[in-house]
Amino acid sequence: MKTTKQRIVSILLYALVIVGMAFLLNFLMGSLKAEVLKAQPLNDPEETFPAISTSEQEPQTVQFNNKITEYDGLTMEVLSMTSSGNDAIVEVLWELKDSRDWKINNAVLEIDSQAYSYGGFDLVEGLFHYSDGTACKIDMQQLSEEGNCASEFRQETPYRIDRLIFENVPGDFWSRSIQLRILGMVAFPSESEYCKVLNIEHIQNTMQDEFPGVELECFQEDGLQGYAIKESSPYAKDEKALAVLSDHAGKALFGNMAGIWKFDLTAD
Amino acid sequence: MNHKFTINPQKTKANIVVSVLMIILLFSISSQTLSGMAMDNSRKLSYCTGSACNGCLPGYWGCDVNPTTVSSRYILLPTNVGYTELRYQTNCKAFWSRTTLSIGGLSVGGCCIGATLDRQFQTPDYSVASGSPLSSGLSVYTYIGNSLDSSRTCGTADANNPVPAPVYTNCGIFMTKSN
Repeated sequence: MKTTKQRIVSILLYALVIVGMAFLLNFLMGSLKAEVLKAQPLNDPEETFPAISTSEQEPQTVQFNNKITEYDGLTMEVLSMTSSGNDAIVEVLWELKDSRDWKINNAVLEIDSQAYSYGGFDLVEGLFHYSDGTACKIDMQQLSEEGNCASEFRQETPYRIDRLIFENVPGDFWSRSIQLRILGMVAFPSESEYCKVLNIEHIQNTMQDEFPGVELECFQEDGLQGYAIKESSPYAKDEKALAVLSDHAGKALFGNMAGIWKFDLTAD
Repeated sequence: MNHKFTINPQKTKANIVVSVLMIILLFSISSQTLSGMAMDNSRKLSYCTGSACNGCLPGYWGCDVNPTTVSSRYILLPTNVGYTELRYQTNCKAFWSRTTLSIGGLSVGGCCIGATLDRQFQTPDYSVASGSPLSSGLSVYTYIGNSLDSSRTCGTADANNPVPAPVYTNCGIFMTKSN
């Protein structure tokens, strides 16, 4: 007959085996994922930051000097252009006008007068001033355990260096006429400021004339942030009211800065 | 009564083994909790750092204050309806993914958007998908992961149907520490 101590030891051993198997499974899943990722050929040659290199096609990069344009007090400079697979990547240094999280959201690369779409950007480095008075430098090639924040950075002009991606450009674009036009930036509120920036009460008041009694709500929960007409209020399913609300919300949430920063990147 | 006390070598050995196994057990349980479990998302007063942040919403530790977008890709259906972003916060040393519908995107009542933080060498990836009709300016964002773990953002939108979670379309590049 088993003693109490033997039973406890047995139970502990069973528990250990179960947890050990779960731990082993988790470890194996992680290893498997890593193996799968290693085995998959990367579609984009710049898939792993910061290298813009490809095993099949050597990237070609041209460095620029003095490609600087100013519009509405905001300066931009094109530093380089790189061909990477089917994409053209243009590295741009630009100043930030305030502490919001500004992003270039509208740009066109024209090659022999044909426009190629802007697919997005990757940050290379930047100096950021934040609304709470702090300032930090971020270098995506040297992210480390130690942050690089200092009050002295407030004395420097905040900036970003981004790699703008233009997709499916012709392979021989280097020999053609190349114009870059940056047309606008956008700032969207951070996750913590969504409802504050949206100011749903103000929108509700604005809509009262056209939709009397309408009640609105803003929500920030579990990874979803948005707004709606309250189910209990009039116009909850009214398409016109929803469209007006969407229009007001869009204007409140998206800070916009339009302009035209134009660069001739044609080879000399 | 005169008690006799003797040391049984086999029992001593068993006790040592059990003690070691108990330590391993506790370590395993704690690491599993950090890497995979969703947590209470009420805001904390101080920052987490690195892997201690894994699996929390950005607001849990205050990591949603002063974040920076370090990578972004536009979502075309076929025109631009929104974008997915890799977000980074310096104090937390954390990444997360966010997908947002932009102005002129899906019509009111359209459905749905999703975001995934794809961690190159870690599991799990963190994903979120909207479960309700959406309109311009609405967004979803994932749990956060250690920024020293190579990660990228992926996201999608669909005008009519629920989107999968995780989603591996419209992905950016993997951002990581110095290679």
